[in-house]
Amino acid sequence: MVSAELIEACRRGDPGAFEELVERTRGRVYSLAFRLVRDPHEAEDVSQEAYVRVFRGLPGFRQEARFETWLHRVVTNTAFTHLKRRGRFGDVLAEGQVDAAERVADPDAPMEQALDRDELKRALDGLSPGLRVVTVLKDVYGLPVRDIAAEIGISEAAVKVRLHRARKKLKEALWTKS
Amino acid sequence: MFEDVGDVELAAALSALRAEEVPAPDGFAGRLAAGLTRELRWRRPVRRAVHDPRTRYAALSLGGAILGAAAVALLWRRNVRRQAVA
Repeated sequence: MVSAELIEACRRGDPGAFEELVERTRGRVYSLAFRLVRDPHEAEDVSQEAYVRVFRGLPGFRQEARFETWLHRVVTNTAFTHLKRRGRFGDVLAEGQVDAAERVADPDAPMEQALDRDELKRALDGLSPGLRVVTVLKDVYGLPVRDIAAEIGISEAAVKVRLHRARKKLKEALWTKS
Repeated sequence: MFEDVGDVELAAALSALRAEEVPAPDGFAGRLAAGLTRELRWRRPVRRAVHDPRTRYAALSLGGAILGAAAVALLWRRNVRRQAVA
C-alpha cells in the first residue's frame, strides 16, 4: 500500500520518495500493463511512461481519490495510448468475433469445483482483446464502468454488454473444462 | 450485475487475479529505474524548487523588484516627455 505521507513526499519532490513509490507499486503496474498490451517489452515501455505521467500528475492528484484506482487509470490510459500509437487499439475497440474461449457449453454440468486459476487465466487470454480488456479492468482491477467507457471511448452500455458476453464466454470455457 | 452463483464465483476468481503479479522480465527493475532517472532528470529539481519556501520568497522579491523598476521607468519616461513638451 502507498501511504498518504509517501504521496505527499512525492508531491514535494523529496529525494527518494518517488523511488520508494515505484519500488512499492512496480509489480502491480507491470502486471496491469502486461494484461492490457500482452507483450513483455511493450509492458515495460508502458510502465515507464505511466510512471512519468504519475510524476507529472501527482501535484494535481486529490488525496480523497484512492491512489491505487488513480494509478490503475493512469496505466490503462498509457497502455491505450501505446496501443493507438502501434495501431493495435482497433483490437480493443472491436469486440472481436474469433476467440478461443468460446466452446460448446454443457448446460447440465454444474460449476461445482472451485475455479482453477490457471484455467481461468487461459480462458481470459482466449477472449478477444475487446472483451478481455473490459473484463481485466472491471472484474480484475475494479475500475468503474464509467471510467472504462471513457478510457476506451465507448458507451457505458457497450461496456456492460461486453462484460456480460465476456463472463458468459468465460463461464462456458470453464464449465466445459470441468 | 450477477445472474447466478457461477457469476459470483467467477467474479471472486477474477478479482483474486489482481493480487497475483505477472512476473516481469529479468532486469526490469533496473531498466525502469534507469529510464525514470533519464526521464525525470530535470523535473525533480524543478519540483523541489517549486515547493521550497525560499523559492517563493525569491520569486516574490524578484516580482517586487521588477514592479518597482517598471514604476520608476514609467515615472522617468513621463518626466522626460513633460520636459520635452515644456
